[in-house]
Amino acid sequence: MLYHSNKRIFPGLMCILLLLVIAGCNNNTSGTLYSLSEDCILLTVNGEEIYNKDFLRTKEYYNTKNYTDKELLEGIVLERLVLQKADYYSIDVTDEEVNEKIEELKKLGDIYYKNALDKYKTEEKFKEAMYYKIVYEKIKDIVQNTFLERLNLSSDVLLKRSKDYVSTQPVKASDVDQFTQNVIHSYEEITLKDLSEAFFSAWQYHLASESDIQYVDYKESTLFSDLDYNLDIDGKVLIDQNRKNKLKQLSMSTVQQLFGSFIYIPSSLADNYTSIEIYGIDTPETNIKCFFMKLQNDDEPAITITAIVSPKEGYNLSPNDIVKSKIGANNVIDLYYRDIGVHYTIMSEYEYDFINDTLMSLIPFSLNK
Amino acid sequence: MAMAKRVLALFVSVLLITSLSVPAFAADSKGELTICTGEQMNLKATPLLPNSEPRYEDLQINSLVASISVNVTEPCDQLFRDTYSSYAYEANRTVERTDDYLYDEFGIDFTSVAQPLWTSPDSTDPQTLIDDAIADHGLTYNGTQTADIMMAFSGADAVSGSSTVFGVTYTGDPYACMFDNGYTQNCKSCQHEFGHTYGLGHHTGTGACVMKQGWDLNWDNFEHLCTTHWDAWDDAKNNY
Repeated sequence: MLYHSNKRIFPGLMCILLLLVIAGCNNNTSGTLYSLSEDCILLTVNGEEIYNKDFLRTKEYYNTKNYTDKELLEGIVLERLVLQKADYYSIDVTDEEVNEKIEELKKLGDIYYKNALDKYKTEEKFKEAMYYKIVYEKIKDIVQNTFLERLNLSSDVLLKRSKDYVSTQPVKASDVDQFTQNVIHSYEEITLKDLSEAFFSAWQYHLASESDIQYVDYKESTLFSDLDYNLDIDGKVLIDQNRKNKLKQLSMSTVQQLFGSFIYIPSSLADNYTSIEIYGIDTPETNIKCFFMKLQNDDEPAITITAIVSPKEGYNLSPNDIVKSKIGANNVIDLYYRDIGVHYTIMSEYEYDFINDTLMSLIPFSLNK
Repeated sequence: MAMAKRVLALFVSVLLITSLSVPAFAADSKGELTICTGEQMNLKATPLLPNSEPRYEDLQINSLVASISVNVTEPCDQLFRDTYSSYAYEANRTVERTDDYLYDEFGIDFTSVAQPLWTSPDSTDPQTLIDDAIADHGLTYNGTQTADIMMAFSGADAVSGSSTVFGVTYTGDPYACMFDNGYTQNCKSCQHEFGHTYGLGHHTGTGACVMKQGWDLNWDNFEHLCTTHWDAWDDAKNNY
């Protein structure tokens, strides 16, 4: 072996290799990550190092998606931030749990297991990934359950939503009460699920805003910047991270279905207005959805309601709050539920109290501190 | 509750393996044609409970955490496209809804890779329709790429005798076709047809089971698998 045949050569080679590794890092001024050595440290998150090989592996996993490098790195950071909470929540995952899960998968058939190995190359790597999966899901369960303890659903809004739905169904008069109860129960479950998922996503961004990110070989230093979005009602455009998303005309039922867990516009409210204009967008690929609705009767002031649902709202460390302002003759109320990544706005020439009550009557939940 | 979750996890995993396991031999032979029917019914005259939308697992980037992607292509015929102006979204959300629990348990994500435009023949015969989807598209999408499974979506009023047909599958092949009866029923039909592709038969006994034929407008059978069918699958898995 080399270091037996000539002991002087080995340390020399090691020095050269070390120099090569060093030379492969710290030279990235353009933000291009592919030219860096796999062992380069791109950045640290609360002191935990994220290597270029972590990025490259993730890039390979998602090579069929259109993620930018920045989005992939942000995703890696968001995942790490969750896993870093394992100690805080006293998460304990034993080898037995991991092995049980792996055995469960093996029992399900060779093909699935082979597919897993195709991706993770070795059983050890797959077990490691499954270990992190169990940790992640345990943390998610705790976080969501804690959130649910703070959550109060509005029985009034749930009832309106359920009655609207029941009115579309061919239910015998004698069965309406029982069916309505079943619908309420279904909507309760749907709302709890939607809100707890929204909370968890926003919570990840909240962790990101509190975290200490130090850039090492990733020189762009732009993670979690450009999170702002702008809903341009006149132009009917949502601008999100410099992407222009043209809003589409939406039906009332679509808005009720897509946004009902965050804001529910009852059919009875819409029935009170002669002119209703609704535009919005749902973009799962960028994790943001929004709509605006303009309600108006002849010779009466218009009321415009908007809602934007995006976990990126959680990046803002400000608490949930309500802000009053004035735009021209319009009174404006902005309500931020940053915990779940929702921003509501209502705007009208009507008095603040009226528009505030109108908005509040549409939100199907409240949160304890 | 824990037992129910485990059974559910196993079931959905069965569906996944079904989709993964069949391509190796599917190209050479076709399994027995399984046509899934139910009584004819005016859907508009049937009350149904609201059901949940899917989660989009693509939004979660996993680096350390286990995640396995299964690519599904969904040819949509002109009748389905006529029914849903956003047909790609409709097909996508149906497939995505079937993997929500599976993702939580194992990180398995059915990824909807394409909704090719399928021009189906003017027919109500399920075999004619699925054969046409396989011939026209099969697992191929974007010209040269290959998915793990094809789940075609048709708006045809497929019939078998006097019964409504919800879906059709060549048992053991990665090819299935489902016939539109609204989102709620389509989710159930989707899981049901995935089950057939692995070789599961129909559930004829009591108790909740997605392999039971017929309507499932309130998801009494969706995401349920009876012990009998679990055992049947367990016995059959070595066939592959």
